[in-house]
Amino acid sequence: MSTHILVVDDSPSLREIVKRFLSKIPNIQVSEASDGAEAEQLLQQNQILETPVNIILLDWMMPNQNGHALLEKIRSIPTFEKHPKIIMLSAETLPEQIEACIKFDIVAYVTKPFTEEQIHDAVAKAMAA
Amino acid sequence: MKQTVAIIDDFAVAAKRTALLLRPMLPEADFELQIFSSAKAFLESLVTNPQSQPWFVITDWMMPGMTGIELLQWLKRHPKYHWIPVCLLTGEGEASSRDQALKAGAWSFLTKPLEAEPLAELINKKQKNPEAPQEELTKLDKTFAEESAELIEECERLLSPLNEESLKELYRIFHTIKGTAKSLQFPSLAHVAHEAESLLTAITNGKLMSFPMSADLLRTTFNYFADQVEKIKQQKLLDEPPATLLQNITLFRSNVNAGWSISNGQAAPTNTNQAAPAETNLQSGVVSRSSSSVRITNERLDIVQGRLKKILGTKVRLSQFANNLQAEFFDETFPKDLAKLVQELNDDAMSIMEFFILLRVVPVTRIKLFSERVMNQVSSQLGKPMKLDFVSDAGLEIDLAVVEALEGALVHLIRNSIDHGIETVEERKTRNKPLEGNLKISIQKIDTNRITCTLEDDGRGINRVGLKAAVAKKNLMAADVLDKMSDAAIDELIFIEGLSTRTEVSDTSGRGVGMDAVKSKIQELGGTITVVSTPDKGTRFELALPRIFKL
Repeated sequence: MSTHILVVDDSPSLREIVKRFLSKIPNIQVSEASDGAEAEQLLQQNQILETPVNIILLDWMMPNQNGHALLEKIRSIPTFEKHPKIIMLSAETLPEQIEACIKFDIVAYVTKPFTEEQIHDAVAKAMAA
Repeated sequence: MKQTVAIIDDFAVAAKRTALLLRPMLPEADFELQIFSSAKAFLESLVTNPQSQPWFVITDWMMPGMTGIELLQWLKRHPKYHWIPVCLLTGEGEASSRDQALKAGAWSFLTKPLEAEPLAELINKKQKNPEAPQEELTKLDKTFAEESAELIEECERLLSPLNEESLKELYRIFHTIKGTAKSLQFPSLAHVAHEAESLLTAITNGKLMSFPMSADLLRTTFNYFADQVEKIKQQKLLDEPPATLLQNITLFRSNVNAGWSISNGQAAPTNTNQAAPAETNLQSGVVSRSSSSVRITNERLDIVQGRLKKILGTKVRLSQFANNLQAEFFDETFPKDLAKLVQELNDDAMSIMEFFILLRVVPVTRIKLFSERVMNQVSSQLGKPMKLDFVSDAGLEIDLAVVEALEGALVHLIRNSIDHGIETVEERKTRNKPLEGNLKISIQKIDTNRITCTLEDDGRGINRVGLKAAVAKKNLMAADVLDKMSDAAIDELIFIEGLSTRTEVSDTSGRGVGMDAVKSKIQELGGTITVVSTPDKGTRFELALPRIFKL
C-alpha cells in the first residue's frame, strides 16, 4: 500500500519544492492544499474514499485557518486523533510555536529553508512512527 | 556533460591544494575542477557561459577586490545564479562571520586549512541534495514571482484602511514571503521580509495605524518588493536590501519600544479613526513607486523647524484668545467650537513635532566613527600612538543637533587631550606607562531625555602650575585669589575665555580658543561640562546633554 502525503502551504512555489523533494521517495501519493480549510476538506474526502492521508506536511502560517488551528481541529476529530502523522514547516523556530505543537504529537518540525535530506528524514521518521 | 566545481582563491597554492584534495573524490570522467584567482575572474567566466553553472563553488572568504561573502551576496541576488551552492572558507572559530554568511545564504563552510574529511562530507551532502535541472528552477522562480506579485498587490489593497485586521493579514503575507524566499534561495528578500514583519509588529504594538509614517514605511517596503518581483520575472540582478528603509524601520521600532506612541498622552489626535483614510489617500498620490527615499539637507530641515516653531507660537496665542472669548461669552456655542478647533490644531502640530524629532535622530555609533577619525588624525600629526575605547548604550539614538554639538566639542577635547595630556612615547616609557596613549569615550543615557558623555585620557593631567601662571600673566585673575584656589577650582580655569598654556601656537591646539568655546556651545544646548584631573594619571571631562533638542 502506498503512503499518502498531504502538503499544506499557501505558497505554490513552496509546494512545488516540497513535491520535487518528495518525488524521489518510492511508493507515495501526494496531494496538496493551499490552506487549512481546503486541507480539512481533503482529509475528510480521502477518509471516505478509503485513501486516507498518512502524513501531513503543514505550514504554520496560512490564511483561512492557519496550521495551528487546523491541527487543533483535526486532532479533536476521533478518526484523526493519532493519525495522520504531522510534520510542521515554518519560516522560523520559535520556542512558543514548538511548545504549542508538542501536545499535538508532531513527528518533526522543519524550519525553512529546508534541504531535500531534511524532508526525506522527516518523512522517514513519520513512516516509522 | 561534465559537472564543474569552481575553486576561487587569490592564493594559487591554496587553490591547488583544494583541487588536489577534491580530485580523488570526484572522478575526472565526470567532474571538471576550475580554478579562479579572484571572484571577478569567476563571475566573468560565469556570465559569458551562463548555461554551464557549477555544481558548487568553493571560495576563499578574504580576497582582494570582491570578497567571498560579497560574491555570495551577488550570486544570491541574481535570479540566474542564486541557486548555485556556495561553500565559504573561513579562518578557524569565526562564529560571527559564519552567522553573517548563513544569513547571506551560504550553503556550507569549511575551515582553513582544508582537510580531506570535511570535504568528503561536503560532497556527500551535495550528492544527497541534488539541484533540479536549470529549467525547472527557472520555472520555480517564475511561480514565486507571480505569487509574490499577487501578494504585494493584496498588500497595497490592505493599506487603506490600516487596522488591526489588515495588519494581521499583512504580517501573514510577509511571513509567507519570508519562508518562500528563504526556501527559494533569495536571502536578501527573506531579510527584508523579516524586517517588514518587525515593522508590522511595531505598528501593531504602538497602535500607530493612523500615523502617517506607518503607511509611508509600509508603502516603501511594498514598492521595494514590487520592484524586486519584476526583476525576478526579467531575470535581472535584484537591488541590494534598501539601507535607508531598513534604517528607518529600526528607528521607528526603537521609538515604539521607548514608549513612543501618538495615542499616548497629550499628542493623541482626538479623531484618530476618521483621520486615517483621509491621510492614506492623500499620500498615495504623492509617493511615487520608483523613489523609495529622498535625501533632505539640514538647511531644509532647519527651515521646516523654524516654520513649525512659528506655528506653535501662533497656536499658543490663538488658544489664549479662545480662552478670553470663552470667559466673555461662556454660554455661546462659537467659542466652544473655536476651542475645539484650536485643540485639533494643537494635536496636529504636536504629532508633526514628534514626527519631526524622529527625522533628526541618528545612531550614537556615528560619534564613534567621528572620534576615531579625529584621534587618528591628531595622533599621526603629533607622532603619539593612540588607542580609543568607545562605550555606548546599545541602540542609543540622539538628535542630530546634539550629535553635531557633541562632535564640535569632541574635536577640541580629543585634540587637547592628545596634545596637552598625553606624553611623548619617550616620556611614557620613563613613567612606566603603556606606550600607546589611551582615550576612553563613553556615551550613556541618564533618562529618556538626557545623556552623558565622558572623555578620559591617561596622560599627565592638567598642568596646574602652568595654568595658574598663564591666568596670572594675562591678568585674568588676581594672584592672591589664585593662591587660595583648590585644585579642582584651578582645573576649571581651562574654560576661561582667551587662555592658552602653550607658549607657541601649534597646529592642533593652543590657540587659546577651544575650551571656552566648547563650554558655551554645550551651555547653549542646555548642557553642562566639568573636568576632573589627577596629576600623572589623566584628565576626565564629563558632559551632560539633552538627548532630543526640543523645539
